[in-house]
Amino acid sequence: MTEPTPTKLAPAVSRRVYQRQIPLFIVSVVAAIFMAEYFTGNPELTPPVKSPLTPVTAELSLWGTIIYAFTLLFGYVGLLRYQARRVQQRKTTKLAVLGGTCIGAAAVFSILGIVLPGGITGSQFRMWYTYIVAFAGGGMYTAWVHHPYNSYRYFRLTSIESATMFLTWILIVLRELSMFVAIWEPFYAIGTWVEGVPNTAVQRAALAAYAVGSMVLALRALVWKEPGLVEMEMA
Amino acid sequence: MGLVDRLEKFRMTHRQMAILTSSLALLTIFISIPIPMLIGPITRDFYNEIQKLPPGSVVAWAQNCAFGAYMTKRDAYRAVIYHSFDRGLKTILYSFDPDAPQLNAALMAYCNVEKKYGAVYGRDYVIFPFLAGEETAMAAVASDTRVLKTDLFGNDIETLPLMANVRSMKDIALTINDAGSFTFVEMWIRQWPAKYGNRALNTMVFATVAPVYGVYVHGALDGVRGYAEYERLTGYLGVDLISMNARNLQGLAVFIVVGLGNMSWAIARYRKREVKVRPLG
Repeated sequence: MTEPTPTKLAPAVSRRVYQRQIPLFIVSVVAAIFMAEYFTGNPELTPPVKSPLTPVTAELSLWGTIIYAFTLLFGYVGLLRYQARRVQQRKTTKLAVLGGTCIGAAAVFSILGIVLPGGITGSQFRMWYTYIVAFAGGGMYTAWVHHPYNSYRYFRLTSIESATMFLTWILIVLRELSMFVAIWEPFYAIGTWVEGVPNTAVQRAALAAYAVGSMVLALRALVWKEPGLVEMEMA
Repeated sequence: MGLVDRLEKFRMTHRQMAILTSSLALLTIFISIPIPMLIGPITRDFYNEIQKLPPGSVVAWAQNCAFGAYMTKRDAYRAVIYHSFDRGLKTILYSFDPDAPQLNAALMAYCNVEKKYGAVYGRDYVIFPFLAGEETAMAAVASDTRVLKTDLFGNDIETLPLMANVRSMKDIALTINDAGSFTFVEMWIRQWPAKYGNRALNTMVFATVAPVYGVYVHGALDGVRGYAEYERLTGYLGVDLISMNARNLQGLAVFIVVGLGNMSWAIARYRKREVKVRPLG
């Protein structure tokens, strides 16, 4: 006599419900309230007519900040958990990686220690930001120092398209460098014209394309033709 | 090997480019090259917009920049703040990036307007805490400033004299925006100047606001060049004037390198040889 194979119990609530249906419902309700608020008040009138929904949208905006803060917290905890697990499992033996992980994790607790006494407006946290974060953040931009390599690599007169891009780049750079403008002032006006006229034409065309694309996407979503990321993940 | 052969063999790696540009940037710390600088019409527009406001007008600054970026803009921001205070304007600093409250607080500490102008917090300027939601947050603040109940330091908004007559974006004469991404600039344009008709200035890059320049945006500081021009125009000189020297040297070097790269490619093509350039990485 063979033992019956254990059957896996179906979850009480499917992933589809809590990952897609419930969030979509919440987002739809919140969006509807914001839209209703827009149409029920008129700030243009004198005196301005305030929508009865304005306190609700104000409260929702506040809750948006609260949820955002918790999302950040969730992200940080997840990162810490990942880093701790990496050190624990030692999938890599590289000292630089493990050391970096430990330093990163220790930094989170150090910053927490700095923030907790005075809050985000406390002198300790402000000093931390002004003298550490500011310079570390500024230093990160030095990573851009090799970016001009792309100009050397790609600006070649190999085709009409690349020559057009090359010419545009030259005209903008001539405007950006004051030494060239000092030699011949019209470089300034030419560069500004490139940004003000051809660039504007392209940006407006792109905007029109976004707008039509967004409307098509929204209509497809309304008639359930657009699966969305969660649906695609579950497929 | 002749000159043409040398030119044909000219190659550069991204590492060499990094060394070249950073060396030239460092050089400007030690050697100052006085190059005349034209102050362009867009920077002049920015200056004039602040200049023509009557004293007591309220300026709202929508800050979307991260703190790291602030370090490259600090002196230009200081020039804007000093120019505003010279004109007797009041400033409200809104924070739409998680870093922005610290940025705004650090900027005002750097400017030290209390000492320079005898300014009083709450009466002459106010800093608000981070409000999440990006475009929704901007829209909410614009329609009702009381969405934020307290300022960054926890003071009730009703106790701040500056905010007494600022109920919505309609009570703001001029808005300024800076951002780390052009999408934030578009959000700001849609929700503040386009909706409420305020005069508007941008301190990111002109290309971002060019399509609506003169319609919704009336002045811009176009990156480092714009900052340097504005610092010279207002007389509040800062690091951006030195940065312009670095840019001049780096730009010239890049021009030469790009030119040599094209010559190398053209000679090889004439000689029907394949040009191989090391990819990035």
